[in-house]
Amino acid sequence: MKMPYFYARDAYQPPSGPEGEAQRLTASLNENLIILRQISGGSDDLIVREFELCGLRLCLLQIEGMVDSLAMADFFIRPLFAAALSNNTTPDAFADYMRNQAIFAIDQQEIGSFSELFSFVMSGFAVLLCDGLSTGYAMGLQGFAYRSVAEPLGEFNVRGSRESFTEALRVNMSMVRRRMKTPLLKMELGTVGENSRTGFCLLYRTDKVDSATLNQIKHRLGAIRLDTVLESGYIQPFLENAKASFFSTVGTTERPDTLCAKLAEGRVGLLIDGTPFALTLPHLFGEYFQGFDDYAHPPYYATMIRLLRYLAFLLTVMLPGLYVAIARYHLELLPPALLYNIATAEENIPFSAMLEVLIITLIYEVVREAGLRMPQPVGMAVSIVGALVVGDAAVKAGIIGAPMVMVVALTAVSAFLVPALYQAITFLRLLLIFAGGFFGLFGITAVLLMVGCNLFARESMGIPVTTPVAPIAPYGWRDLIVRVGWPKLSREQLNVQHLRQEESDTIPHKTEGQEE
Amino acid sequence: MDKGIRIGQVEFFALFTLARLFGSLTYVGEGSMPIDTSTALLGQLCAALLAWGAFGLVTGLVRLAGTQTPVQLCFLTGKPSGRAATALLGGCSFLVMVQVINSFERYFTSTVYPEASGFIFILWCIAVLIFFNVMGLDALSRMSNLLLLGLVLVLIVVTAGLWSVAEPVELISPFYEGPMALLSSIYRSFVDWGDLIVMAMMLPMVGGGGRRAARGVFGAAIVVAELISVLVITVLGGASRMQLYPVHALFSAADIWVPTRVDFLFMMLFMTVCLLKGALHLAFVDHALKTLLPVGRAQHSLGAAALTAGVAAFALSRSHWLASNFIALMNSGAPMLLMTLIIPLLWGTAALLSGRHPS
Repeated sequence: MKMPYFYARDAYQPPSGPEGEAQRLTASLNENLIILRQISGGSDDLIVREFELCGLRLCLLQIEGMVDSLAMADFFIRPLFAAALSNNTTPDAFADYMRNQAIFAIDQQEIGSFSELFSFVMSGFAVLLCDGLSTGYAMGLQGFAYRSVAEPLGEFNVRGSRESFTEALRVNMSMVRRRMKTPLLKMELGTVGENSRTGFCLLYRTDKVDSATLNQIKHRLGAIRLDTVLESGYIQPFLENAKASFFSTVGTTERPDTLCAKLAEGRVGLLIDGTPFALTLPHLFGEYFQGFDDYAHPPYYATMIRLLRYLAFLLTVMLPGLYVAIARYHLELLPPALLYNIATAEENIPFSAMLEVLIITLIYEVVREAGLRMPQPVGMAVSIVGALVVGDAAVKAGIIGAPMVMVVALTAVSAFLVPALYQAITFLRLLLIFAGGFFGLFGITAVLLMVGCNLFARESMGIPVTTPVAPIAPYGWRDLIVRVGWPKLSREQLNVQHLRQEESDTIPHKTEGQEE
Repeated sequence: MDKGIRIGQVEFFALFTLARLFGSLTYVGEGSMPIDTSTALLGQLCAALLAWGAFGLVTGLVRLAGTQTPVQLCFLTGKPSGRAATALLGGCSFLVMVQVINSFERYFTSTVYPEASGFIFILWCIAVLIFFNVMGLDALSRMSNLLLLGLVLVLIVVTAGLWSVAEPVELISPFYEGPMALLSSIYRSFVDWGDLIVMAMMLPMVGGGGRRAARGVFGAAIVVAELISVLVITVLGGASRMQLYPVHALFSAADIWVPTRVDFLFMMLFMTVCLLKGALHLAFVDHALKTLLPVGRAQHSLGAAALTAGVAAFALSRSHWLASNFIALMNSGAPMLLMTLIIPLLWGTAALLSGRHPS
């Protein structure tokens, strides 16, 4: 029996469910219901409604709260009872009616096993079983509650769309499709998680995607053996590069327009049911510094903003460590006036520079975390109180010096320019504080070299994440730090697959399908 | 030296240009290759041309024999002699690695942190060298792109900072000190090109062959070395002989507003160059060990090689007699000549004469 196209699992292994699920449906409704109750363990949310129609014993199955009651009444129950069926309809005649005459939903399919039955029912389909038939009929009448489309929380923009993904997979898919009305955009559905059976959708442009990359992603998804997948973060590690690093080789975005832009560059997108974020692959390091607004602003302004982001990244990672290293080991580097000011501010502080910066960083992280987890109005209050405590009261109390407050404040603000790197930034910052505190600039240089080497070793689906800087690929430079104008960008549209090392020497400066 | 690694031409160029700077940055007065005389300006140039010739000879032999690397070339003469040659090559490279770690420790404990223990710096150095090799030569070469850009910026800043204090009159004829001084300068500069063997080993990994990139390395290395020499001669002049690390002193003399001193840039540059060069030689030593030892025993060859080099460097830092003899050995140029010229030439010629080559 053919499965609906959106549940076709040619590329994926079907999850092995509870025992008995693989069993075929039988022609006896009673027997089917007994097995059904055995498998489901009599779960209370499974609604089983038996009824008779034209001499046939029918049974309707659905999960409570996942089917749209109005649609069910209008498009299924009413038409079914109004159908021109004779009083003593045979099961075969009913099967023929269901197969050839009835359209209760666009997504309407015959099912033949309990595994399929549970798959559909748990996804919000209504399933009709008929005594005398070893097949059932699944109808897509989903109507569960989900959060409506809202503004993005982490990727704000000034111009352009204000839509962000929601938790409902189908809604997310439709948001992408609305922006890319081409048959070249392919969406493949599947499930992951042995028991959560979380739906996911692979998105890619058939004209741009690299088949080896796509197969690798499918293979990795198929190899995931997790019991439950509740969030894209569960899957992300399985798609990462094998070498451990602070920097992820999988991109995330909560904006459908950003996802579309990445798909247009030959990347593969992955939407996970229940997650308002999409994953993108391959993901290059330079992408952390790109924002959707960059493409709406004039090139000179976009370039300036990107430079600011790179500078902010360096500042937020290195400034506290550098301050500690210089204050402790390399005072000769500072001009006398600045040295005098710092010495005056720090002379009454009871802690060493390293301890001081660690204390204030810790306080900042606590305040930030509290602000994030609390309800928004309370969170704001916590942030204000925290800022006051850290900024003013602590200086007056002589716990920390004013220059240190400035350093940490600048560091904290700079981190928000590259929000996707926040975790890496926080950890690297701490590492550099320790390195600077214990070994001075020597320690900082050593740690930076090691972190740098680790970053340059990273590959995302076979593409070094540091390309087009290294390996050098001038083809990719026009959208790295400098963002060239749209006329030039559209003339030579970027395809991330052309940044592979083997291709970087012979970059095809035209995309596939573009005329010579 | 993994065949699966692929390195771009630019990355290869950047990696070896940086590694080549080691000679100029670790210059410690009379003991090693002089860079603070006008004779050295011509000496370095001639040495680079000689090194280019030697490199061409070795790679030419490798190609003529139909092999890919000098080690493969040596094995054409038979397994025992191939193993002997590999052991010698690896041994010489090991000595260079010890020299790098020793210089690293000596610089930091004598100039930057005089009160610190040398052991810590050796430990750091070994840790970073192992880490670099675990990350792979491809990662190292990619990182070199950015580091080379940093080097260029640093040199621009320092040159600009020294411009006002430079005395061009210090630049005199390179022949002033006589032909023997010139020949000595050429020889000393030439034996500083110990990275040629690693370059020849890595050529097959370079996309497009890498010969053009290798030419670029010679060109860029000589430009940077000459620039540093000119700065040392014109800014420090005869005073450079009184400095333990003249190039460090040169950076300290650069007049920049904020920060007031840029000798920390020298420190960062020195560290980077030492670690890159050390990592390259560690990779070669590891390759030699993996070639010589059975698979099971070669499993920890990387760590073992690095640790042994660290212990040797520590011993050098503890014994003045050992250190002076080691420095004399390295300055004699014997390991470099053996590694980059004598072994490949002897084994290559033997292989070609005996007709034991695939082509």
